[in-house]
Amino acid sequence: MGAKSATPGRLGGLIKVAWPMADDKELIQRILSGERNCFRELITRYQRLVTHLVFRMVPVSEDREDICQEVFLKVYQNLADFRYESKLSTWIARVAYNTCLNYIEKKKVPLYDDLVDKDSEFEPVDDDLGHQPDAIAEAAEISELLQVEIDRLPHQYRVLITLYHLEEMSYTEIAGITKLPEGTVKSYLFRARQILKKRLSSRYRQKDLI
Amino acid sequence: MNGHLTERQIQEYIDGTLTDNRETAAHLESCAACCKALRQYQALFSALETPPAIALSDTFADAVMKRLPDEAILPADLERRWAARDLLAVVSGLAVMVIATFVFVGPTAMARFFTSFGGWPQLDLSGTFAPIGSQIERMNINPTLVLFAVITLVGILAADRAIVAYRRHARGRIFHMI
Repeated sequence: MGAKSATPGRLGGLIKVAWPMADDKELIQRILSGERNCFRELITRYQRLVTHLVFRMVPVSEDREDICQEVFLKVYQNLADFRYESKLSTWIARVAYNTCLNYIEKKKVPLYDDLVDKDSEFEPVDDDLGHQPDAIAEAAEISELLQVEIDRLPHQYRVLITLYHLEEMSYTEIAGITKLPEGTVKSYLFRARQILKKRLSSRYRQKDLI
Repeated sequence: MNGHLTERQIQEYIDGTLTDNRETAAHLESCAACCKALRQYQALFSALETPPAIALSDTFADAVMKRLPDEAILPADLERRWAARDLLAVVSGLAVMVIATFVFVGPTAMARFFTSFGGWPQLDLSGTFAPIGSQIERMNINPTLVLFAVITLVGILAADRAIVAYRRHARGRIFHMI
């Protein structure tokens, strides 16, 4: 299997997010000119992005929907300040990210838990060939386990995983949203995946899913 | 290549950001352990692209729409620019009024102006402003023209205020026309 085949969604994602730009501009202009109902269309377009970010960053499930609402209210109130210097999705993600950060600061949720040894990224892979790794993606239970394990990651890692893999954003876009240097984004993503792989392998053995 | 690939190299290989792809690919052909790690990461990358089963309530959009403010949405810097412009208009208007007063209190100009209205309470400010008045008189400024300028500026100021008021109450419909 070619290396690229593991991430088929990224190219598809680029095509998918490229076309709405013209529409977004028209949509924004109509909202700004007083057509309030057009904002409903904007909500529909970006509800998934906001939901993913908020659900991954906010641990209290009762607060999530309120925060999603707050994000869209902020988007509406600040829409006239959007300068088309980035994609609308990137700008909305930044609004959502900052709103969640404010929430986390208020609730005193710890921010940067460094769960793995930094040097481990340069350790060679081990020689254990005992399990069938392809089954990881195939088992539905593993998919559920993955969501559980993602929720156990530090929130910063969860954000990066969400933006990169689910929303198919580039390192540059993610750096723009999180205000982290691009190198840090790459390192955090690497560590997040490494943690997930280790934990899934471990849980996978415990559950004896094969 | 000596030994196994690092986990970082494998992730970068899948991600397409590894600089030396050919050597890595050759190693993966011959190393079962690295190939296994590669497949694990490929499976993980693939699984990470699957959206989680989360959803907002069906009434989410309605709830947001209900909470939208009634006021117009305007850029913060435009608000600041408009405030600065309002201030400039007020200052300019006041400056013109002061200058016009100086013109009108010039001895001859003032007399000519007031006479044209059939007489006016006489203000003897000529002593105070005589030097300026004389200067303006030498410039031969038409007081009617100055009055016209003042009225025009006051008109501009009033129009500006009206636009601001309209913008605030008409939810920005005028915004794109300006």
